[in-house]
Amino acid sequence: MDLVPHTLMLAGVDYQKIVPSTDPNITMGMAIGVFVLMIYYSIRVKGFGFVKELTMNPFNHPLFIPVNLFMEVVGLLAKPFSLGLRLFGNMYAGEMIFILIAALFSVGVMWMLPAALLQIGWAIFHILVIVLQAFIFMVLTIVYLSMAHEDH
Amino acid sequence: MELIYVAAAIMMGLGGMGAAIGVGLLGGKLIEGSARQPELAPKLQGTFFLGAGLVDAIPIIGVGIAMYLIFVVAG
Repeated sequence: MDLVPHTLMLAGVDYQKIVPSTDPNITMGMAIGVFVLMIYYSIRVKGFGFVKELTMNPFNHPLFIPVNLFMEVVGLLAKPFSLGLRLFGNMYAGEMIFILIAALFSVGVMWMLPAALLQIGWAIFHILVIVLQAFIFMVLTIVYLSMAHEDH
Repeated sequence: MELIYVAAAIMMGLGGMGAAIGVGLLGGKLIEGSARQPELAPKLQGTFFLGAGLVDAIPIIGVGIAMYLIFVVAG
């Protein structure tokens, strides 16, 4: 597990994780980038209509502006939050389970075979999960950007 | 301090229950849709994986936080 980071440290790169997405800062950074893009394109394509969309949306009456604003802002903020945390949760839990199954090897000699089988099984499942999560991040980014380009 | 383990267990358990029920329902609809229109089966399968990843998001966030509680907060 420390093979690649140690090799890179010998080559001069001091801090490199093998799976950077296990840090929530990385995934939230990507999600905030998508959020900034969303707002930029919303304002560029719709102009002032962006504010109209935020304030008039479920209830189309000027009296309901605070209620509309609250609900729309919660929905707007939930998007990058869930995007970043979904990726972080999957990556962190995956790596943690790898480490835990590896810790099972040190319990006793009889546990080594079940631990090896578990390790193989989890590796196969994890490969499916990480491809799926990357696909979902990409699809959701594209969906949010297309929602920014059109009206409800 | 021991209550942290119970909290983490409840988080993971309830999250797992929700995720299993959600993905199970989705899978059932996939099989039913594929049985009605077999030519749409690859597209439905792609949409199924997308939906499964979305349904899994909150339970996996819960698992991540629970593991953080167990290993970092509770020593």
